[in-house]
Amino acid sequence: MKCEKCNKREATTHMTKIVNGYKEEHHLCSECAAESPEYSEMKHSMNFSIGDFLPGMFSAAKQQQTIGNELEADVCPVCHMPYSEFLQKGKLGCGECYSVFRNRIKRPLKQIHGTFEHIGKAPGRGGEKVMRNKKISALESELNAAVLKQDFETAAKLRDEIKELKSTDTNKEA
Amino acid sequence: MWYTESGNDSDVVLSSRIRLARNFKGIPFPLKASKEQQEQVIQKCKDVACASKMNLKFVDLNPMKDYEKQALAECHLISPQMMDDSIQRGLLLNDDSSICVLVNEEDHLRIQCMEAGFNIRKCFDSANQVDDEIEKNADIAFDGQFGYLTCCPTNLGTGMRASVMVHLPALTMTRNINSIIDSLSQLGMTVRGIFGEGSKASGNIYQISNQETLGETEENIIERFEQIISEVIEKEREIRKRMYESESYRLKDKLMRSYGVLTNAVILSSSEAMTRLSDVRFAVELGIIDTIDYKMLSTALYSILPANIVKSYNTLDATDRDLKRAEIIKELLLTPKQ
Repeated sequence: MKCEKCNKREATTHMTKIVNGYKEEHHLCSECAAESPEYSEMKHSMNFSIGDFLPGMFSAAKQQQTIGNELEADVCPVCHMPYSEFLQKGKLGCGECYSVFRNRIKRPLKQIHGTFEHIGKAPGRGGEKVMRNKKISALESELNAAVLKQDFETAAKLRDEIKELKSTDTNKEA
Repeated sequence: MWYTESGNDSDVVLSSRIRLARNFKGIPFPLKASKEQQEQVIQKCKDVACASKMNLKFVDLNPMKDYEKQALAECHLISPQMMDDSIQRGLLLNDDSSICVLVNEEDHLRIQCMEAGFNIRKCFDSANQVDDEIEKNADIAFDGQFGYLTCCPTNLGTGMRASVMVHLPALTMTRNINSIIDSLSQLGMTVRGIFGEGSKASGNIYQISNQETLGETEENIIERFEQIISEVIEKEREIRKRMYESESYRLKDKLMRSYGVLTNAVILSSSEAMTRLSDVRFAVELGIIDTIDYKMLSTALYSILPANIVKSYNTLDATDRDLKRAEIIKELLLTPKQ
């Protein structure tokens, strides 16, 4: 079949348009199709944002994961948002929601971001200390691993690093 | 205004932007906050503005008329979601609007910093500075594991999005754009039209932004973003060169025809104006036209949008707007370059 617009090239794009119940068919070659406004509209009309996928992802996680959930509340005590509402909308009500629903949220977060551990900036007030403690515990587990492997050179380095981090902590508090 | 400045790689990149999402500790996010709590957030922002060394002023959005808000959205200062006035909303703005903190959008604060051209690092530095100023006076919702806490889990962690507005006429005309968009999304980048989420690419202008916000440091995200955007810039330049070498007369003719239309037309719809302006920008980028500079083109791009015309000239009728649009463009394009 030849393209209905240029009548030269082979038609490779076939469109069916239904307007007010009337059906129209168009057969275009790839070049004429690219120029056709309807075609590009069709191609670009999928205006999904990641947000649209969240409710599905989080409700799937609910079925798969049960351990730890029974310990978590179903309603956030601060903003009173029930977990079920989060499943519907994919948005949280307040900062506290993240703590209340922590275990249920981790898995889908991993699906979205590939991880659930933040390693970037932390706020000066309070946040810095949180991040330092986190780094100390990460280093401590590295230290244990090094000791098990009898890699004492690395272990010594790690020990010094931990010591330094801990001392800045006490200095600041003093 | 920030966008009337010129910047790096202006032949491809119109502007760069960094956005940080932040929330105050202990107050529900705007959608769940009571009127009093929304006011509390606004009050905190007013306090920040007073204490700030960056000359930030608080602007209340609620008493504004719809077209005034739309005009702000057209200039990318606010998101279209902020036009709904069921929530108390406002802005913190500096003198040239390069710093703009959206108050009570989806999160309490969206710190936005914009620069003309390709300069993500400068945007990040100012955003970071604003962030530091804010947290000096207030506790921010932060979790040791999840990082900065945001209303939508897709912003969690750094809460940071980097984005650039790019003009890609050669990639679009040669139909390479779809494969570029595909590769970019595989690299964790989102490509949208000029007016953000859900908008179509108009005037061959695209917005590219990072998706990942959790698990990487701000520095790494920015470095990777810069590398990827530099690639896109190079690809566009390469194809422009090839197009111009292989069909120079035809291309020149097409672009100059648009210049002819813009400098002579009496009535211009915004969609025709966007398309023709893209051609003229392309001609400037290729050096075919040298009487126009990028600042003028950016000014034209924003001043011809519907709500901006209503705001500046009080023309509510659509035909009057199309007449005015033709007039504005003609005047801008025929003003000699300084």
